[in-house]
Amino acid sequence: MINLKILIVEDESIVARDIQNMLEKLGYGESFIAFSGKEAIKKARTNLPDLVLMDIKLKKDLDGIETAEQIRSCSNIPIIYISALSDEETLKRARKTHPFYFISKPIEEIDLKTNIDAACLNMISKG
Amino acid sequence: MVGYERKNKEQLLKELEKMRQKIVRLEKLESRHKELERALRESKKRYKFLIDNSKDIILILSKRGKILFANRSALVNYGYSKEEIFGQSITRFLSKDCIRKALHALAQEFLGRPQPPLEVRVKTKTGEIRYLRVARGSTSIIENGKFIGVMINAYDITESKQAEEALKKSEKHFKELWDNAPVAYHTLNTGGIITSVNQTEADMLGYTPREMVGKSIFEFILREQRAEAKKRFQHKISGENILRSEDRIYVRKDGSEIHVIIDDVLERDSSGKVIGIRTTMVDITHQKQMEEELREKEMTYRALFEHANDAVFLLNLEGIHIAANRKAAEMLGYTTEELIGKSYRDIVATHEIDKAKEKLEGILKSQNFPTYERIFRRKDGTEFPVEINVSVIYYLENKPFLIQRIVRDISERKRAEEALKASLKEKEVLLREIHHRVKNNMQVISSLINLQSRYVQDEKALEIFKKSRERIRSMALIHEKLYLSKNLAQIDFGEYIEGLTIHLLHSSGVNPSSIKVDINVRDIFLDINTAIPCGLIINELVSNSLKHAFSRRKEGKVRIDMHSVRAQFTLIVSDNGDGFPEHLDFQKTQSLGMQLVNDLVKQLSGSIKLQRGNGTTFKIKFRSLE
Repeated sequence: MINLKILIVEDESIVARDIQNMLEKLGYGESFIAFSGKEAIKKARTNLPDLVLMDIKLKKDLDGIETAEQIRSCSNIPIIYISALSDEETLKRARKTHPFYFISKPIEEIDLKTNIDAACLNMISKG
Repeated sequence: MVGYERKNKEQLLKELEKMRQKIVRLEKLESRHKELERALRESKKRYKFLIDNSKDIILILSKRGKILFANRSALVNYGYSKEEIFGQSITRFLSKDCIRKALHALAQEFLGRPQPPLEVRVKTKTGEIRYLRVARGSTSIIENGKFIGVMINAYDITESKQAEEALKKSEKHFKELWDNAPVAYHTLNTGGIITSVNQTEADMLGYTPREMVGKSIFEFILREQRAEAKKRFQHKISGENILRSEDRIYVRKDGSEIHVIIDDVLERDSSGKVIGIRTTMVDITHQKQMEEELREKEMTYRALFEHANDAVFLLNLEGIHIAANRKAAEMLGYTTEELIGKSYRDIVATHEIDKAKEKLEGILKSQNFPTYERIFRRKDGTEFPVEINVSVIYYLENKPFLIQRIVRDISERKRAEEALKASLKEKEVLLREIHHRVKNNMQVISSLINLQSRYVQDEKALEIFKKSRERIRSMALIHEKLYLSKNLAQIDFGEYIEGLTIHLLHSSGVNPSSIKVDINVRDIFLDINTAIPCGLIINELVSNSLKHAFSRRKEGKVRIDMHSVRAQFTLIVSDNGDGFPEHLDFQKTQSLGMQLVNDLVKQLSGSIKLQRGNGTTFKIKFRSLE
């Protein structure tokens, strides 16, 4: 199993905890949670995650796309967006941050596994 | 001899003298007699000449009415010869309708009762009918003391009769013309009394001519106009007024009023003195009514034009305003007078002049005039949006004559539209946000169940948690589809089923290459209240098939069909698996899934049927709840 540091950015604590449990169950190693955009940027800088699972709709200061932009501005950490619903305009904005994939809520383990594994393979192939 | 012997010479000479004187007297008498005879012959000759050359017709008729004599006029003028007339009955030559009265008159004459002049019609030899007037009285012809017959004197009056008839005809014709003339006529004396009136006028006023003649014309004039009419009449008679047409209101016999136009001509006698007035009268009531109607219409249209809530402009074909109503002037800040003469260019926003020109040219070529919008420019230079309804007014031969533009200031409407659009957008955003929130909450519930399931070891309990999450997911997917739909009201149910079944295949753990799901759902759009129960039904039935139908098979197929006919939906979920257990009544089963399916069908006011054999088929019929 690949050992990854995964940053979960989700303002719904229950959902964040659920995702963390799934990752743990899937055996991806360490994961940590940020409940806001600013916290996510900070944790991305300090914890240097291998992958970020980013909720697009964050309620506080920054939304998921803005947060991703800032994280991506200083690193190449792959981003997988998680969203309950996204309109075409939001998706267009999100695509500009070159995310690895979109996962739709409610999240299922299988979706997480498939996308994270694909992201890992992508990272490995790029060196 | 003795006597002679005894007479002396003296006596004899005396006797001789006496004899001589007697002879002389006899000679004189004889000469006188001869002279008388000659004179008689002359007289006879003259008399015959007179009779023969008389233009009158002279006949001598016997007691029995036979013609004993006819003079030359009688023969020549009627084309008969003596032989054809003499000895013939007079009745042979008379027109049938005259015979009776002629014979009667003749009988009276024979009895010595002179008759008044008699007119008879006589047939000429050629068949022509000529008129004769038989002179009053006749002369009895007596020869040798014996009554022979009567002499009748007659003269031909055919020409005068014809002239008289022509005159009568002419008079009748004139009377007819007078009475039936399209205009009413009457003549008045200098006192205003009607001396004659034609039938047309009498009919017009509802009287007979007899009822009108002799009455004052003023009796027939509307009471309020009488004084003025009398005054004018006096002026006309006196020659003070120039005669001209006048409008007047007359009153019919039934009391109704009639508008007429009168024209007068003075009537004069041979000395030039005015003896009355001849008046023609034309009924113009209908014309007056038309004028009144036209005036009312004009006033109505004028009022509509002036008081219209929209600005109305009339332009000539060059685009120059020839009329504009008050609203138009108010809208643009001009007076109506200022607008007249201005071009359409003067009131259109500068940047739209070219478009306006193009439109105007297009309108004149087209028969179709859709409403359009334009930006207008006020006198003070400010601009505002308007809606223009244009039409072309055609004149004779369908030639364009004027352009009418009805213009409405739509500033308020535009503002309202913008506000409405903004409000709609806001509501749309809000609705999307709600769908997002609902789906997010479903994620939270799903996560809670998931977190809780970590503390459960029992496989059955875990399965229950899993099923619950799947049901939540099937509902969440509806909200996702609604959020992404254009109108936020309906979802493409075919797309939804595809998304749902992909997930069900994943989560069921079946091999997608061995179990196929065939979806045949096209152009089915459902609202949220129908879609959620319908989605849950499919979730349960497909999950059941995936879980139970192929336990003894390596391959299988699940099929979902859905179609609608007149808002009646039919959903068929079938598989070619092992078949629904024979011993189970699907409507009384303990399985929560099947109980949910039955309840959801009831919620949809639908019906469900199970078909066993060659797998399992559930057929559900329902109507859209909205």
